[in-house]
Amino acid sequence: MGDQLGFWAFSNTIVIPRLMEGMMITLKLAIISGIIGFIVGMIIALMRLSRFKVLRFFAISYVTLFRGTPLLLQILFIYFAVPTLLDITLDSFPAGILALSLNAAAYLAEIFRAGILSIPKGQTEAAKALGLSHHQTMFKIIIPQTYRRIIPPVVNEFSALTKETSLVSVISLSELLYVTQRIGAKYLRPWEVYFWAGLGYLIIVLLLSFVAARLERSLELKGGV
Amino acid sequence: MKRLVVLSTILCCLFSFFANAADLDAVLKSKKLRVAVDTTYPPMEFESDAGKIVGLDIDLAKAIANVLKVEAEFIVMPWDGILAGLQGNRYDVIMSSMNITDERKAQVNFVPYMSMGQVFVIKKSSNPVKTEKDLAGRVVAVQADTTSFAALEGFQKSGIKIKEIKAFKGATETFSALKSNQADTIITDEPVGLYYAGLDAKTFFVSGNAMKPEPIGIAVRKSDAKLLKALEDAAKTLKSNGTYAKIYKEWLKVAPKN
Repeated sequence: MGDQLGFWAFSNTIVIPRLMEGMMITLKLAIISGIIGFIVGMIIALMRLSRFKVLRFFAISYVTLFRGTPLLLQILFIYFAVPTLLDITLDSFPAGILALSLNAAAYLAEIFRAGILSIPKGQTEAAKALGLSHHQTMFKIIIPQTYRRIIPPVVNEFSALTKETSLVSVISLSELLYVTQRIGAKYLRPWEVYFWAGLGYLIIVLLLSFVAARLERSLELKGGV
Repeated sequence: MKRLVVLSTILCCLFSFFANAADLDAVLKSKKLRVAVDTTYPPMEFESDAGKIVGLDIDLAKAIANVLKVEAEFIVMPWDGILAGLQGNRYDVIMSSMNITDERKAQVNFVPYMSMGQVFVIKKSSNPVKTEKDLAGRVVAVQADTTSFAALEGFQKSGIKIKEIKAFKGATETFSALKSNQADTIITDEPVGLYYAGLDAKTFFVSGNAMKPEPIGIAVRKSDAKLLKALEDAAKTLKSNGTYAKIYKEWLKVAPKN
């Protein structure tokens, strides 16, 4: 019986093995929606800075919508409301990924935009003077210079995203926190289960920071800005 | 938070007529009865150490599926989204100790299968709560959107001066709240109260009955009339052939009253 076990025995035999499955799902959610969010965010940022009014309008509306409504509502809407509206039924995992990545994209888009705008105007003017097109200026001159500047805020957003994955438990995804609560139900030992769940999130975020620090250093060696 | 859940439920109900009808034919064809449970409710529905879904409702659901000659497939769903998921056709039924209330009956149909009372749970060291009158001056923890919560609001309206009502998302949280002195009384379903009192007899004490036993039921979509009928028949079969009594006794250690 788990209720008579000490801290280590209880943790080793009951909590940790089950938390591992939750942690894998949390990790998958964070990585996949991080990557999709990164790509979508980049597209939105470029649309926002585009010469075409329609694209700019779309990008502004997108960011306003996803930043202005709670992520929890977005998750519930995609999972519960979309199937009844559009006859598209997404399972919990894809629905969770969709909500998390669309939401992260809105925040990342603003980070990318700030990064692009932080590059002195002289760079664009110089590129134009050399006869580069708008497209070439953006992708060859401006964006590469933003990489190092945006790493800290992007890592911030990714760690926020990692922790926000806990919200998808409302659509029955067995991520770290939900698994934790379900183990807690049988034994009612909140301290042990929450301790290990917290450590699980911490490990994921530390891994992320480690990768980011390596990336930052490698960009520094090349000279950067 | 709660408002969001209500909003999502309303949205789903508004458009529920667009949802694909499943009904009995779909269940028989797929040979699967998809059952939603919130596994934070021992001994009714919870998870074993190996992560297996177990409990009284689970065994009953399997027996019912057996009568229909299909297999029960369990979908773990948090309590606050469990009705919205049914309307959204994420599963066929909910079998998760759900009390039959008028409010819920407006959204779904029910197949009643057992009755459950409500109890007061307190810390062993505190003054006993025998009747609702003893709730005066106490901080009461309860799971949100449950009949216990509704009962508590009723007590308050009838003039009992409850110090504070703390509504939590799950039943487990109410017991954690009692243990950590965030509350001094809980109202919960009797089997759940007895389970935790048995688990931690040094802390918890079931001190009285809060409400007479009320029926709980299998929730079925309004559009699934044939499934409703089949489940009613299956429930009758389990009562007449003794399966229900056997499962009841196995989990609650006493024989069913009726």
